[in-house]
This record gives sequence, C-alpha cells and structure tokens, in this order.
Amino acid sequence: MSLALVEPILRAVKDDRVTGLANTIARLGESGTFEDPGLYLSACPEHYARRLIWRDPENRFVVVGMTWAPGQTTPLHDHGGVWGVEIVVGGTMRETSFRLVDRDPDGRYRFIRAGERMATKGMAGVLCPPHDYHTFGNAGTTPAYTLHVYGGTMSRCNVFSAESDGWWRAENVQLGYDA
Amino acid sequence: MAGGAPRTFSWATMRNFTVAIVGGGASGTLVAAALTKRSEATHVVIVDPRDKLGRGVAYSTECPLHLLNVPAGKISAFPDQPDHFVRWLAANVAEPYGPASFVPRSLYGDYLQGIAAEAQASAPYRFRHHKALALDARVEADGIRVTCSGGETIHADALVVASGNAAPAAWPHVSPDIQRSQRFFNSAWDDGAIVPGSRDETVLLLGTGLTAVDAVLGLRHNGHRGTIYMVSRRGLLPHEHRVFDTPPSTCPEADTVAELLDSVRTIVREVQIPGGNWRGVIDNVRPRTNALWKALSLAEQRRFVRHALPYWNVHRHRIPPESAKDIAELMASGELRMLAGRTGEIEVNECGLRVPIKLRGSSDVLALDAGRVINCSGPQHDSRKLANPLIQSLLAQGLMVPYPLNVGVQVAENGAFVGADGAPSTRLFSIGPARFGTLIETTAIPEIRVQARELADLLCGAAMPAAKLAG
Repeated sequence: MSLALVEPILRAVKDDRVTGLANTIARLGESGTFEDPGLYLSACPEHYARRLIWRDPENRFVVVGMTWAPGQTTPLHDHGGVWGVEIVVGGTMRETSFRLVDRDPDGRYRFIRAGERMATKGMAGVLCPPHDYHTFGNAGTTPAYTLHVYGGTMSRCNVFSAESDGWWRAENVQLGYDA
Repeated sequence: MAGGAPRTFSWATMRNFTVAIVGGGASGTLVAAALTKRSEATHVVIVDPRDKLGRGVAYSTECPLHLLNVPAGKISAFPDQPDHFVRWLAANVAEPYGPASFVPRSLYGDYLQGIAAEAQASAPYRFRHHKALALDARVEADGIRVTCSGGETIHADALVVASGNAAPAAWPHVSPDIQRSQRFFNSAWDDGAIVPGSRDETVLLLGTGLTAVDAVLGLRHNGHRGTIYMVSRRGLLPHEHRVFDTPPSTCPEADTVAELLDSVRTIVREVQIPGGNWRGVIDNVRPRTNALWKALSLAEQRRFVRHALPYWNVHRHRIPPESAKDIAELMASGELRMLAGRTGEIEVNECGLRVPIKLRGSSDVLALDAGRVINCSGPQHDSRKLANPLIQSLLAQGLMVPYPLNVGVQVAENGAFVGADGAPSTRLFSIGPARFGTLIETTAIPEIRVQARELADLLCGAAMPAAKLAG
C-alpha cells in the first residue's frame, strides 16, 4: 500500500470534512491510484469480498477494497455512525438509499426509500450519518470493484431485515475481512 | 461599546404608539409579532416591497435542497416555546420531521409567514404591511418620519431597522460588457442566477461558503449537469454537522486572538481524549461569542476579522449532513471542483466569460472559461458601501455610525443605534444582521428571537420600572 494513497487521505480525515475527503478521493481516482488490481481480491462466489487495504494505526480511518460478483449486494445497513466515501473503480453498482423515519421501543426501524442510482467508474457515494442507510450491489454482468474510506475503524454496523409489517429489525454485526 | 447608558422611556403608558419596521424578513416579522402581542397600544408598520412577510432572502428560496443549517428543534421563533416549530411541522407538514431534522428553508418561510399572518389577524388595525422601499428617515421633535418609495410618509414613534443580510459586495472587474453578457450574476439570489442557461455550461462560483453550497444544490436541482468550479482565496468549505452528543466543555477565556485560539485548541484536545468532537466545543462557545468579542480590543477585533473570521465561519456555520453528502458526491465524481486562489479581471469572449485565477501557493494562473459566473461571496459588511438608501441617509445624518472596523455599525446594548454624538438613540433601533459589527453573533434565529422579545419589552416600556419613565 503506497504512502501516495495514505498521506492525502490522512490529511483529509484529520481535516474532518466529508467534502474534503471526497475531493481527495476524486483527485486520487483521476490519477489512477485506485486501479491497482493488487488492492482487490478476486470475486468470491458466496458473498462480496472485503479486503482491508489500510488501517490507520491510530484508528482514524480504514481503506477497504471490495469485489462484487454480478448480483451480489449488501443488505440494508448503516455504517456504525462513521462517515466516509465509497467510489466505484470498475463495473456498475446500484445504490438504493433509505431515510430513517421512525424507531419503536423494541429497537425496530422504519424507513422510506429515498432514491436509487446506478454508479459507474469514478462515481462516488458519500456517507454522512444519518444519511447513510443504503443497499449497495453489483447491478452489472461483470465483477465490480469499489474502494471505501471510512473516518473510523467501522468494525461494527447495523444490518436491517424487513419484517412483514413494513418495519425493519436491526442486528448489530461485527464486520470482518476476507483478507 | 460607545456611548453611555441609554435613556429609558416608555411610550406605551402614555398613548398609542407606532413602530415602523424597515424590512419584513425574519427579524422584522419576529419583532412585529412580539410588539403586537406585547401591548394593545402598539401599532406596527412593516415597510418592505416584497409581497410576502417573514421570508426575507434566506427563506424565499423554493428549492427543496436548500435546508436550514440548524435542526428543527433549535429554531423555534419564540424563546419561551422551544418546540414551537417542531409542533408546527407536525401539524402542517406530512413529512415525518423531528427535532433533529434539517428541513427545507421554504418550510421555515411558510412558518414565519404564518406567524406574520397570525399577528396581523390578531390585530388587524394595529399591524400594517406597507409594500414599499424605505428611502429616508428623519428624527423630528415628536417622532420619526419615514419616506417611502411611492411617496407615502410614515410617522412613527420609533424605527426598527431590520434590513437583514445585505447583498454581496459588488465584484470588482465587472465591466459593462460583462453585465450585458447576462452571464454574470452579482448574487446567487438574483432572478435566474441559479437557473442554468444551458444544461452543460461550465459554472464558476465566486465564493466557497454557505451561499456557494446553496448555488451548487440549486443549479443541480434546476437541471444543470455541467462542471461547477468554486473559488475563494483559501478554498475553505463549511464544515458539516454530525450526529454526536455535545460533551460539556469549558469556555475559552482570552484578551487576544492568539490566546483565544490557544484556549479553544486546548479545550478541543481535552474533549477529544474521551472521544468528543470539536463541534461540541464550538456550540458551547456560541452563547458567549458576543461577550468574547466585546472583551477584545479594537486592534484584536481587527486581527480576528482579518485572520480568524473565515475559519470561525466555516466551523460555526455548518451545513446539514444531507447537503454535505450531496456536495461531497459531486466533488468525489469530479462534477464540482474546488479552487483556492485569487481571481483577476474577467474577460468576455465568444464562448462566455474567461476568469484568470492565480492559484494559492503557486505562481500558476489558470484561465477558466465559464458560461456563467455567480458572485457567492456572502453579505457586504461595510455599511458605507451598502446600497440601502435608508442606511446611507442615516449614516449621512450622523444618526448611525460605522463600527470602527468598517464592519457593520455601532449599536448600544439594547440595540439602539449610536449616533455621531456617541449617544444611543431613543428612537432608532436595530435587530438581527443590522447589529453585526458591534456583535459578531447576530444573524441566526436563536439570537434574533431574543432580540425581538427584548426590543418589544423595551419599546413597550414593560422592562422599565414605572418611576424611570421619561420622554
């Protein structure tokens, strides 16, 4: 992992602006920094593959590369309160965003679907809680590659499963890496 | 603060009295509503050429992406009813907004317009909206005479200047040719400024603050897909609001700007050890900002305005997470580009406008070709350069004097304008952004709603013991 990637990201994370991080990611993306195939795993048939590219020793940020076989997608999830930027490096991703409208005393959530968009190379999604509830998946016919920078370790997050009455049940899960 | 203690007085106990309020935006509406409610002897006349009261510049936008930069739970119009706006939303808007929601400013405009309408309906003979521009005001023996466009003259016992945030300073290097090109807009709020001339034209925004953020979101909402550049000397975007619990923190103490910055940095470091965030520190400073400002000498205030104010602004006036997300996505995909540098003389050419930009920290000059250039540099603070004819007249008569830094004007503790004689007026008052200069935190609803209440108490005399009443 080259310092050419880590140093500007660290500067942006320390500045603590999601817009600043997005600007940095855009410049790195334009210079081809994210296109090194060594950053990503091969597609894995069971689930999308997560590779930890860089963990800041002071836990201020992580850089994660993800590989998505066609059709692979996340459940509805949040990002553990952490902000970040996710950029498409190759392939076609679909992002469906949701807006939280209610929570009940049992810890169940109600959302409305806020939008859907297709993202291709160079397009980015930004996580700025509470505007970070989404599903993200490969909508194309070839493997897709994405690079994620989170302003924290993001070792846990909530994933949501739909119940029959329109509410969603949250499960707080530990996030792991495939390599 | 110039001048001695203001003379106290009360019109209310003597007879009906009339307050002319120049400006019918948020500040003017809140003081009018407070006055109408405070005393049945009060008559108010709001002088504002706009059709709708309450909305001003800030809340006239219809773009649903232009959000309040304060959560709904903190922006009630009334200091004693903190949940008033949240309850209004629940009763009037289908969307499930809560106290933590950043709602469209157009809704807040509806809310303020409703408050104006309610005040007017509660006292139809005591509340008048005169649709004209106030041109001039004279202090006479028995009151104030305000001359309006259209020729009407209003006689009042007191005048409240609620002129709101001024338009940006005129951009230098704008020749008549550029004006004629219809590609240059001196304000993002001018008619058609954020309606793209063509879907794909390149747009340059002069400024990188809150207005520039509004312009980006407005252009995109209006169908623009071309590249947008934004430029300012330092290239500083506002910070974003985050969801976090405000930790209790101490307030900085300082006599100089250097001490102040040191003190804030130390407190932020302390707060961050247990996982807190600098945003909480800034929010804790908020109620004491004006006291800290007044404790600085003029030389230190000048230093603050020159070196620290841009940094204070981007930390203090933050954008909602939703707006940050939209802006960041445009930046990450390269559709929105940030430049730090100084712009030079704009040229008109066959494709549009060419703007030279000398990039910060470099000797390179970038020649940027844009189909549209919008001045988003924020309000003009130098009172001597304001286009407002009433303010120019009051300055010329010595009824108002510029604050020594040429930022805003001098006002007394109670909001009265301080005249050239150094004495606070008993008839001329200010509210909201019109107090900027003397105060540094006076443009947001949490301050304005308190000023409105206090002005109503003062003008209606209730805050004063009866024995002290005087003419």
